[in-house]
Amino acid sequence: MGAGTEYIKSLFIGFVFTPVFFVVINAIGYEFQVFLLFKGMPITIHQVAMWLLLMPEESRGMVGLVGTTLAWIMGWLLAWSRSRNTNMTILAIITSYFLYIIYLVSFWRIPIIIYLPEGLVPIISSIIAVYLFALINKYRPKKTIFDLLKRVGIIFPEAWKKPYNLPLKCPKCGAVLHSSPKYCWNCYSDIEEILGGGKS
Amino acid sequence: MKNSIVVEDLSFRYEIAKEYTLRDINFRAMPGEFILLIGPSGCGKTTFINTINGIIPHVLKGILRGDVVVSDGENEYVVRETPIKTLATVVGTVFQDPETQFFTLSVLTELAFGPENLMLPPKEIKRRIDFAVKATGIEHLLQKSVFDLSGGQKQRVAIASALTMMPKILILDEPTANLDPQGAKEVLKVIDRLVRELNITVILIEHRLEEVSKYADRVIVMNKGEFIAEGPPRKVFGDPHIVDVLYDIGIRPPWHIEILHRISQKRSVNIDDVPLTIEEAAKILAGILPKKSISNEPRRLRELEKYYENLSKRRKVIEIRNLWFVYPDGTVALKGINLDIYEGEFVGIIGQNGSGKSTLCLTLLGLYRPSHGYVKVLGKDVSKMSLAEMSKSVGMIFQNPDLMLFQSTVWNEIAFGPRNLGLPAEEIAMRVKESLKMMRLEEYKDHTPRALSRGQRHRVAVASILSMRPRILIADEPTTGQDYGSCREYLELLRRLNEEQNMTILVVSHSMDIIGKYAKRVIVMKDGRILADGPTHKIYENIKMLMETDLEQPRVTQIVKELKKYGFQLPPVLTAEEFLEIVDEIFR
Repeated sequence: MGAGTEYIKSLFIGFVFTPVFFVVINAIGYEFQVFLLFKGMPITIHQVAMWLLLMPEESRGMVGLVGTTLAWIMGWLLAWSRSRNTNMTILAIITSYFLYIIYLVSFWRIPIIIYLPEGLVPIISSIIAVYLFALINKYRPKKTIFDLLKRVGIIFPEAWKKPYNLPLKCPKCGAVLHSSPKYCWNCYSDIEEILGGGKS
Repeated sequence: MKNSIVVEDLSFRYEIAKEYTLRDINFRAMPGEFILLIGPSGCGKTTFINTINGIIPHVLKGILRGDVVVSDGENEYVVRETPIKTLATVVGTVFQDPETQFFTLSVLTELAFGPENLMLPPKEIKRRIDFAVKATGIEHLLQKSVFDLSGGQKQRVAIASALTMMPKILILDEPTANLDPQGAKEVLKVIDRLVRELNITVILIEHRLEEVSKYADRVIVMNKGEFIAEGPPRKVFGDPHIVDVLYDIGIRPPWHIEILHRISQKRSVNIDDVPLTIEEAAKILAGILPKKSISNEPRRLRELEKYYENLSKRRKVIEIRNLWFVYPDGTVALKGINLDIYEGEFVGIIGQNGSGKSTLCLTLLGLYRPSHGYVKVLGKDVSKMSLAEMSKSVGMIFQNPDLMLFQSTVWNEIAFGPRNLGLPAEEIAMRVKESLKMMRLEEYKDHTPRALSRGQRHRVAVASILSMRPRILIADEPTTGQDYGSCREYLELLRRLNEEQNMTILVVSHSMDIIGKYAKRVIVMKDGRILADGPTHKIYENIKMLMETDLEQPRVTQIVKELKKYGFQLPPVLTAEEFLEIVDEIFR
């Protein structure tokens, strides 16, 4: 998958799912009466976009700020997890910010006012979260296919898991080998056995 | 004794065809008779058997003249008047492509499907399944999905499901085409047992004449919809006139018979006996060849070792390191493959069914992403390339050409790939014309690909790949379902592409003779690992290793080995030409 495709994928997922997460957080909050973003009132799509940009005054309170930032982070972590391209995801975050603005201005003729510094908290938090997750993912020990197979009781000899520098030479007769076969084509000796391989 | 099949003055023309596919055929078969039907691709063999099992006229429509009557020993059924469900209890059919006859998802339900439809009691269904499973050796496949089976395994399941119907007549359309040599031998033995022990009439269409001719009671040669020769194998293959006709129509007689035929023609030696086995052929040869030991290997083989050792001087086109591939069901198909392939190589990949050959090719093609390790083609990591990019570097001709054909005309089929690359119309037309010419398909450019014979469809599939101008071409089982003439023509074409355009060719095949003749390097696979990799003749010499993979040496190599019993010390050979070179040396 090319960088362009990964960018489009990130943008689509982040742009669509951030508002979805926002609405879900709102709904859960309403259910437990702990996190009332709209005081239990119905909400329209353009209102969601305005909240995501922290334009209404109540959105910039502590509850609004935390809820909105959480929605941004969840939406963009989902986008990153699908594309796995950190730079393209960050580019998509910035693009989506402008897309919300374009949507509000062109469809609803709403004059945009960005309140600083609160207005940038969700976007900066999402960028930091994506970076952190990318870093954690880079340095955490990765599960290989061998770990998964081991879990179901399939174990292979360690010698089979090594990449070889080709061409090899038969340890017995010195014949050139352009792969890592079990037998040498020239002396027919069991190379795996000589190299301490073993059987599955 | 009643005949089990009676065919009188049979002619048939398909609705869409202009000419008759079958012409005035008269034929009778006895219970317990093993009949081998041979003929070039497109000669009407499949059409003929379809008139016996009732597919013609009940499913495939056309003009049918004459009568076909089948018998189960008690009742006689006129095929055109008997419903196909009744015919299915008398005539069992195993098609060339086993996938076309699968109805269910798992092997067990597939085997039960036929008897269940006969409304048999569960005990009887189980007894029949047990019998069929044992006869075809598929105990380990019973719980598998039919989609997870390799080509050979599918064929065994198809034969087993035909056997569950306990038919009195069994028709098999190239049942061993997808099987490895040992698998093919086992299946033929099973078929022979069905004939001898259960008195079933078997009609077998087959191109592997070497193995099957010793089992057959009668050989029928078909060409252009007619039976042109008929008789016991020794009579048909022993008649020089019939053998000449066979060559003319693109059928190669069993190899050991051919070699004796050529020696007798060249040396003016009179050979009266017609051998049906390698042992018989070696005995006859020992009687006519002056006893002499030859130590020099044929020139081609001497050069192969040097060729292999110096491969790394060429440009590397495929680099595989520690490649593992695990299917979603947990089957580990490739286990740590390390392999380099160089530009302009002609590599044969051999191994028993399910050894990972096809998976390796699909990984090379980018259709399967490695579970671990990497594959680089022309220096680029395959998992980072799109399929469109890959198609410019690697082309694959699948075992079943029909999987690649979906356009309305041959021209459109060949133009499809270049069109998707967004090439200009003149460039597309040029590439299509070039591919048509290379595959000798100019006269069929406006035909529907699916209406062509299998050999021709194979050529269309190759042409559609060639129009993409890939640097690497993979041919998966190129000999399946093709007569010797089409097969040789196809392989010669691959050789030409390899020699003239320096295209890297990878051929996956069970045919040891074909690989022996064309490939300079052979890779043997077993259980997802590379068992051996080296110059062809050195790999073929290692009988122990070949036995480990259910493969066997080419017939010509086996004859040389057999001749040792008669005191001949001869070097290894891989082709008939090399053997004749040695024979010339003996006579010198």
